Amino acid sequence: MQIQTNGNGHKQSGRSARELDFAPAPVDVYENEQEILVVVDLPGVAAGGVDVSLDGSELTIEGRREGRSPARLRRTFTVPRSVDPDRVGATMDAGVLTVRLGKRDEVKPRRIAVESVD
Amino acid sequence: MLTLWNDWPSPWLGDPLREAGPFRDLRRQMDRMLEELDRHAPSAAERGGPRFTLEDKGEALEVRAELPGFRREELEVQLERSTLSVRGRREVSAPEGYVTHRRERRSIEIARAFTLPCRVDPEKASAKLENGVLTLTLPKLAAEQPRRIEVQVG
Repeated sequence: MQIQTNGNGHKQSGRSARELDFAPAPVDVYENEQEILVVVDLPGVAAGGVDVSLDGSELTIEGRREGRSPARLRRTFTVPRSVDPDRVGATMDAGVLTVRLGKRDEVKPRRIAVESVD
Repeated sequence: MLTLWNDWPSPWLGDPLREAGPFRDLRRQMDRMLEELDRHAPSAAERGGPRFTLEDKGEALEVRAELPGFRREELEVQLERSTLSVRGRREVSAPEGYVTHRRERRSIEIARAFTLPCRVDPEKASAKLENGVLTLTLPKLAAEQPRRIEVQVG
């Protein structure tokens, strides 16, 4: 599995012709205070067949399935600024991809200790 | 082909991740049209769940199904004479403490039975679950194996 992150906001162009070759896969998106989770069903796709890349605010997930029924898919999302490009990770399990997008520390809620003054 | 990657309605208002790319608007329109159609027709998952394919490989039958997120222990495969049955389920739920922004993946319960086109040897049957794809290899009984017939010169 490859995870690429590129913080400088550079965008690739000329992608539209290839886009037609890809079809969407079902995706769940969850969020808590620490991170955003993107979960994708990719049956038949091995860990080596997945590319996850974060280019500026654009998250791209691509999967390739080899073998008897080859397929390709791509989903692209715009992620909020709160995501820290250094805290992106992905795991593949039983044909399900989970991408974890950790948030920057400054956007996480902070617990402030209450001091007693008496 | 096993399954369409496609045709998943994506209701995604209020999503922190927005679908990007040149086809966003088109996809949005398509999604709306598909959702409109969905109201009148049951979805693929409601009709029959994951797709199964059966292929005759000559010496064996091969059955394949896309079952992402299924665990081995959640699948039950039975062979009785020429009836193959597959049962199983997967639950999709938000992880504890997370808010759900988008939910396209579904909980799936399968209970399928197939009549096989020929007799197979249950002793030699095997099942494999790999990367969310179930593959059953069902070798045919000797009497059902394809035979080559010599053409005699008369």
